[in-house]
Amino acid sequence: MNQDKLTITIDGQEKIYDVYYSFTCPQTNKGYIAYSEHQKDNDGNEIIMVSSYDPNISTMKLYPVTDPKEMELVQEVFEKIKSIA
Amino acid sequence: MAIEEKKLNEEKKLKSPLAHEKNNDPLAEINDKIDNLTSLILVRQIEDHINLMTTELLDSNKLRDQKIETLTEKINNQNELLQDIKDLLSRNLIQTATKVEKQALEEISRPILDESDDEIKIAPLPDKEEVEEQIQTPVVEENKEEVHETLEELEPVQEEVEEQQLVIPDTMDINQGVKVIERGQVDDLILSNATTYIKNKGDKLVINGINEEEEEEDKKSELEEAEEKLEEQEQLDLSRGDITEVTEEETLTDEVPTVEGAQDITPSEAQQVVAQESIEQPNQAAEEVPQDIENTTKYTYENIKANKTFVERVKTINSKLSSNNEADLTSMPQNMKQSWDDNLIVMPEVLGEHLAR
Repeated sequence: MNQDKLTITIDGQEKIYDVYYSFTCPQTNKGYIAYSEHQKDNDGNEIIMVSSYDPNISTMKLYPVTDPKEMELVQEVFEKIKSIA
Repeated sequence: MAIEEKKLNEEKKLKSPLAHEKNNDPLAEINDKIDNLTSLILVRQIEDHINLMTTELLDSNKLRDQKIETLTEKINNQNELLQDIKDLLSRNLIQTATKVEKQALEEISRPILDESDDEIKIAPLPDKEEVEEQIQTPVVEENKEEVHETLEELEPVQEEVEEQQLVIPDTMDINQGVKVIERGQVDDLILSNATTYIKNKGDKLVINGINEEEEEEDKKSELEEAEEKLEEQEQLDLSRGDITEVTEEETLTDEVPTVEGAQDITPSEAQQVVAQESIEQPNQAAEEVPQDIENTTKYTYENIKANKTFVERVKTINSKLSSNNEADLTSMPQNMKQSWDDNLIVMPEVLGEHLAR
């Protein structure tokens, strides 16, 4: 997988997303990926979408992140990147 | 009798030959006497034998009688025992029967005894006219009307539900629409509705860290408050008589720059404004609920890989912020800081590699 781009075909239309960051969590045994197609909300903020995947298999399925704890984890990594940058 | 006749006959026989021999020959007489004596001896022996037999018989009879007596005694004793057992059993049976009978009688007699009033009360029959009225009341018609009314009330609700049902499949399709994405084949990645799902669920990350719908609601409420204040300000100005042309835009920009000013200012400025709020959030949360953080199990993470342009953009935002991130780290609880520091060792290496790429 290219670390910078993520191409997803929806209803026959390809959409290219920029992958912002990805990481794995040993406790959940999942990988998480944050990506965006640079859409902005009403306030002008860019929307970043997050999905989880199984890092142990070669073919990757993207799953929605529904667990609030997992979402907190993704948020924390984002905050971490901010703190490092 | 037979023995006596035999004796007499033998005596006759003995007398007659002797008489004959006396007359004829002395040797014959002697022989006759010898014969008679032997016969007498035989008779005596037979008598003795008979006597012995009789005594034996008598003895045996005596023994038999004794045995019979003992047996009869035993039988009598057994009969007595049996009788005693029978008596005991009959007594026990009677006793148990009487007990059961008593218990049964007590049980039967209890409710009767407990009741203060022994009279059996019979509920009074309902009034005939009331019954007739009840029968004649058109219950079905009333129910029909009620049902009709409730159906009318339910119609709009049903329409709403149908509308919602029309919407739900689009959102529910998201769970079914998670598709396979081949790792390493960027251009061949296949459909994923996870994005739609996240959008619908509100699980979106805003670049500046604000991802909750509550934030939008707060902003809306802030906007409303700003509008109210604007109106109040206008009213005050009007009441003072100092009527000046104050545009709504200007006032709102002054009052709530983070909300209203988002469209007017450049995106980078907007990001800066909101980012400042988001950076302050973890600090506040750490101060407010440190115990909760300590008690909850915290996920750790590894192998962080970040996009260069993204990091650069975040870096630009951070550089414009007045707050210092180091202060945030020091204000965190110890355990949280520890995990944070542990991961800091990993991340700069990974991130550095990626940035250098």
